Amino acid sequence: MSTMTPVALEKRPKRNKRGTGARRDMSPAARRRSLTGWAFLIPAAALIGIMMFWPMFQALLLSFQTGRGSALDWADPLLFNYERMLNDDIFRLTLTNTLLYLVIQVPIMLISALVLANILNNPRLRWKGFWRTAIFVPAAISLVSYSLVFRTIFATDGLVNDMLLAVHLIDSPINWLGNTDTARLVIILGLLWRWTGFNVIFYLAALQNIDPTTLEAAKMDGAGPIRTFFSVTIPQMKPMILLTVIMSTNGTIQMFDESYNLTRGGPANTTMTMSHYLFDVSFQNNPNFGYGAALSYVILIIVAVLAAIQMKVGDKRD
Amino acid sequence: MTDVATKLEKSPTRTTARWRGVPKYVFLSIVALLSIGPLYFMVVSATNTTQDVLASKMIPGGNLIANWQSLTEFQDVGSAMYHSVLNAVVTTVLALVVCSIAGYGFEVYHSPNKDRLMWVLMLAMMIPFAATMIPLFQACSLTRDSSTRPGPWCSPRLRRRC
Repeated sequence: MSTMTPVALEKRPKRNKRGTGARRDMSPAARRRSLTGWAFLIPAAALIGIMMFWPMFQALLLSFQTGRGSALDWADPLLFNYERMLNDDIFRLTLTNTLLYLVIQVPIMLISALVLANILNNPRLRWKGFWRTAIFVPAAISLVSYSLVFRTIFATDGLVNDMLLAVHLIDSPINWLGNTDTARLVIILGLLWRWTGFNVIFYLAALQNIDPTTLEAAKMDGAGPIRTFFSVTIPQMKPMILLTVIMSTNGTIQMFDESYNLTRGGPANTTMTMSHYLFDVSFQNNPNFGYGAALSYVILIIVAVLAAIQMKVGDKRD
Repeated sequence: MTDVATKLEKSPTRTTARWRGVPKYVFLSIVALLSIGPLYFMVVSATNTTQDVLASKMIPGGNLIANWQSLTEFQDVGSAMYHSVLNAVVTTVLALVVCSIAGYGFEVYHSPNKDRLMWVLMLAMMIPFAATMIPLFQACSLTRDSSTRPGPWCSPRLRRRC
């Protein structure tokens, strides 16, 4: 005599005037509850729809138009802007620069952040608050401020050259911002300086969630600290590592402030990023919003493809 | 006999153990110095004259008042501060209200369709600002007169805060 039998007999899906979907089987009270739940989401969904999805759609339409300023007209071959981009040398240079920053800076930053978080996670470390604050403070500085400070520090008569000359590491001042390679190095150093602390916080949070019994088990099995780090700690931090990789990639591809304020595009556009080029095309000189919109769509596609690749790789190894 | 043996075992490890943590602290000190160095230079430079900054002087000077006066003389600092504070406060308050309502709706009135909507909204966070910048600029230039700012609702921070 199971009590489930009467309920099972009543559970026939019917098509009634309430329509189809999950709401048709509900009582009026339950349906009202479900609609109330949807009502809570309307402000956020409406804001995101109006401020993000609608402009994105408009940008797609814009990318098929050309013209100066507000005199926009449909492009003759519809993909004219994209064809122009394929032959654009400056665009190719900015793409190279951005990918270079991504490939060099992100791995170094994340590995340093992992190592630092692991060191800071030791419960017997003294003055922990001071170390954490010191490492996180650069992340609280505005992008424009730190770009200008780094520009001053790495000037030909700036702090870095003075210090290197004082310890006799170099004979004459290095023109950091005047050569392509050193200018890119300065930008990468700036990015490392600023964003490592930010990622240390994320990894510290992930480390707090690691089960200490797994670490004890590893120690009892005779694993040294390095072996424990690679075989026990890192696999348990995989979701957070994936999150920081996606966030860092996203941020580095859209980078604008450092390129604009630190080097202003660098010696002959050799440190310019894609977003900086987009800003130049759209708002400086002769504004061409159609071409700018096409550029922004290429940035969007690159971000989306890289994020999809990273999510696939991250999930496969689970 | 065993007490003496264990005591003899313990004493060398105790002195080496005291120095075992030192490389860690040295490394952390270097990292902290590199992190705070530029900021310290920035603060100290604010109190120095231009020649001192170019000479990389690391000791605070007495030029703070003069620097502040030349700053306020050439830039409208008050207006800039007001706009920054307005932006920060309004977007934070709006984000708190909108996002906590939405979070409440997603969690307490949970359903599979709401999960799908949440994934769509999370996807919106990944859209680079560059992709939406130009249409937003066009929209905001329609809704403002020549003297005021476009308004905090156009700010990307409102969207990123959620």
